This record gives sequence, C-alpha cells and structure tokens, in this order.
Amino acid sequence: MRDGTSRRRVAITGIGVVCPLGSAVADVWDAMLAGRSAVTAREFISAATGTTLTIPAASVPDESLKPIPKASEVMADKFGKLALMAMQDAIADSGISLPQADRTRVGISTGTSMGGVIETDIGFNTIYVQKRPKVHPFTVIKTMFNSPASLLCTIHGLSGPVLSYGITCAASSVAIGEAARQIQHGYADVMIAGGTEAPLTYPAVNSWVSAQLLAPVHQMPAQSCRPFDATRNGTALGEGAAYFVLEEYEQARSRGARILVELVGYGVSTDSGHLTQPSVAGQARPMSLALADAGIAPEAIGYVSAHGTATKRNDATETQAIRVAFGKHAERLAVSSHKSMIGHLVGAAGAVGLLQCVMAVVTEKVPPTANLHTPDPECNLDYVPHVGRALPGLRGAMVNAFGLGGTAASLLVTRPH
Amino acid sequence: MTNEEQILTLVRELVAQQGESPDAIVPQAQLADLGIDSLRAIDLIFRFEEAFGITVPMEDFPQTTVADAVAYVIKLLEAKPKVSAA
Repeated sequence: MRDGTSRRRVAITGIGVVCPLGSAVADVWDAMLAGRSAVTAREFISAATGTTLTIPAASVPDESLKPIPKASEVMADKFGKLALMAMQDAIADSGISLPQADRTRVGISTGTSMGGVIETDIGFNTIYVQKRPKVHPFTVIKTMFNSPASLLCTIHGLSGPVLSYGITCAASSVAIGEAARQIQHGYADVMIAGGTEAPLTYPAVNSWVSAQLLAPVHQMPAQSCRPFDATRNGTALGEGAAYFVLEEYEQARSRGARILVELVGYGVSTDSGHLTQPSVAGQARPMSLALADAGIAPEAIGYVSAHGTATKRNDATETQAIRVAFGKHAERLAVSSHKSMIGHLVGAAGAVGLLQCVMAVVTEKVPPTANLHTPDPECNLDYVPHVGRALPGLRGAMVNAFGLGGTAASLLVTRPH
Repeated sequence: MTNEEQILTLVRELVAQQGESPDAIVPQAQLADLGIDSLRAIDLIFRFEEAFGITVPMEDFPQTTVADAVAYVIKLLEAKPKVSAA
C-alpha cells in the first residue's frame, strides 16, 4: 500500500503525440472524440519477389511530421524520429526549461516493441537483395532499441536514468510506470516517458498476418478494427509515438507548471498462462495493483482506456477482467479502445491510451470505440459506441496494456489537487 | 568528372544533409569545422567505398583538412587495379 511519507508524487505536465490522427494533442483529441478512423487498406510489396500483402493499417500523415534537428535525422530510423517529434512537443508543452534544470536528475524512459524495423529492413535488403558488401554504418545506431532515448539525451545533455523497455504492447505503459517510480523513489525529478513504433514494412506486416493477429481488410476499410463488436476479427497495425513529461509534484508546483493530472497508480504483473492467450485473472491483476498502488477505490475511476485489440479472446477476457477489478462499479465505467481508430501502435499503444486518460480527466469527456455496430453479449460494458460524450465530474481514468508474452500493465491518473 | 570533383561532390552531399553549407568546403577547411566528426567520417568513408568500389581503411583516414582527405582517397583510387571494359 502507498505510504505518503516515503514516496514522492508524480505530476504529468506535458504531452506530445505523433499518430495517424495527427500531431497536435488538441486535434488528435477532437478526432478521437468524433470517432474518426484513420485505418485504411494498405498494400505492402516484397522487395525480393514483388508479392503484395494488403492489411488494415494506419500511418502518420506526412503533414503531421514535425521538424527535428538535422543531425538527429541522419542518425534515426522512423521510430526514433517519431519519438523525437513527440518528446520535443511534450517538453515544449510542459514549459520546463531543461537548460535550467539539474540535468543529472532528468531522465528518459521509452518503450517500443520492434525498434528500428524500417532501417533493419533496409539493411537486410542491402545484403540479401542487392547483395552489396556493407550496410550503412549508422544502421546499428538507427536500429538500437534505445535510439529514441539517446537521440533526446544528446540534444539536451540529459544524464539522469535513461531506460528503454522492449515489452511488446505493454512497452510504453511499463516505461511510463517505471519512470514514475524513478521519481517516486528519488532517483530522478523529471522523466520524459512514453513509447514509439514504426513497424510498417513488408516483413513486419507479414509476421503479424502470419500470426493471425490482424483483421482482414473490411468492406469499409476504416472499420476493419472493431473492438468489443460481435463481428470483430483482429486488429489493424498503426505507427506513432506519444510521450509525457513526468515531474516530481512539489517541484512542478513550485515552478508554476500547469499540472494536467497526477499519476497516482501503476500496476505491472504477468499473465503467464500462455504466450499469447490472455486470462481473466492475468488481466485483472494489474488493474487491481494500480488501484492499490494509488490507494483509491474503484469508484474514483470513471473511464478506462482499454487494451481492446478487437481479437475475439482479448475483448471478452478484458471485459470480465474489468468486472473482477472494479466489481459492481464496472457497470458505471465508460470504456473504449483507440485501436478502433488508429490501429495497434504496439510499443506506443499504452502511451496513446494514457493520452486518452489525461485528456478525459482534463476535459471531462470520454472518447468512443469506433465501429461498434453489433453488440456482443460477452462484451457487456459501456464502450461508448461511435462518438465520445461528456462525463462531468470525471476525476480518475485508467489505461490497460496487455503485451504479447504476458506483461500486463495498468496506469491510473487523477485530477490534480 | 575528375576523381577530385567526384570526391568533393560526395563531401558536399554529406555536409548538406547535416544542414551545413556546402560553400564552406574549401581545400583548407578542417573536416571538424564542417561537422564531420569521427562518427560522420565513418559515413563519409562509407560513401566513398560505395561510390568507387574501394576499401578505405578507417585508421589511416586523415581527419584534418578537406585537401588531406581528398588526396588520401585519390591515392586509393589510383592504387585500385584497373578493370578493362568488357
């Protein structure tokens, strides 16, 4: 249980996002509330054989890409560039002055599932298809999983804890939760935390299709990912990044920061029954742990940003898991999945879900689950179908992320006080 | 294009990609002043190797002036066995 005297508090003071719905937080939020889907039918071509693969996918629009320092551009894969764009925006949004901060106590915590997929693909293409003797010398730096963190570190001269988590769909939730712990236990005062993913290459897409994780392209491609719907048949793949500035609460307050929410709870555990199939107990556990970590009752939470991948198993299991964790109060929760609109951002999914939680508490509105036309008796909570709605008095929100391999993480935020 | 002109074109491309002005590339310019530190020198060497099909040993690559770097690569090009056109 939480001991207020020995653990410091964590404020979230800035958000940055680059995703298929855009790269300005306000615009992304408006699009989410409107239930807009950025998922389309996207074709990928094998460089070796010309074979094509068409899947439902959502990509970052070109006009949403933001400038980053030229010196960073040449050193970065797309997953690193997207991360840098979002991290820069989060820092600007927070109003914090890094040059004036004690940078030995400023760190980074970033998650990704597949890392430098695009540059890895270019490297393999160079060797196997073009049969050239050497890949580009920066391939190592571009593809290393800690690339996003190193890029930011170098720009700002940060020398606090710089951590990278490779935990599939739970990577960014864990990155953010662990960043909070660094602050809570006094190892850092500021942590820039979040996740990034840029997996849209033929081989990566092929691996997801082969594992039977993706939905076929729907007659209306934007509706391919239908979380909690009776006709759901898999997820769509997305790309993007979302990052937050986490600060020690009192320090944020004394510098006059605009505190969006307090990050009050984090639960991480493992659903270890099966490598890919979830269990109710396994998914309920991080939710219960997060509530206990925060020392608050389920009734304090009004919204859950679900993992909601639109696979048959996840959505039914998650529904029951929410009931286990929240008890009778589950009936009163608003629950939704952003994957219906932007696909699965994998290593960034938890972070995007946290964005939804923060914005929900700040604006007292909850975003919808798009494409929910046919209710499923096995999924019988309030999933806010089609469009978002106002929820006056909303004070607390939770985001779930359940990774392939079992790591399950939940984060909890509440209105600041 | 002479060897020297080809080499300078590659240097200009690298420098421009980093956001520095290619006009600063004069023979006596220091590579370090052009933003070509040891890490970017590796990129430059890679481009020379790809363009000319030679191997440029990193240890001996001069990290001093543009003129020194150009002279070094020209020496390697001239030492390369000539392949007659089929």
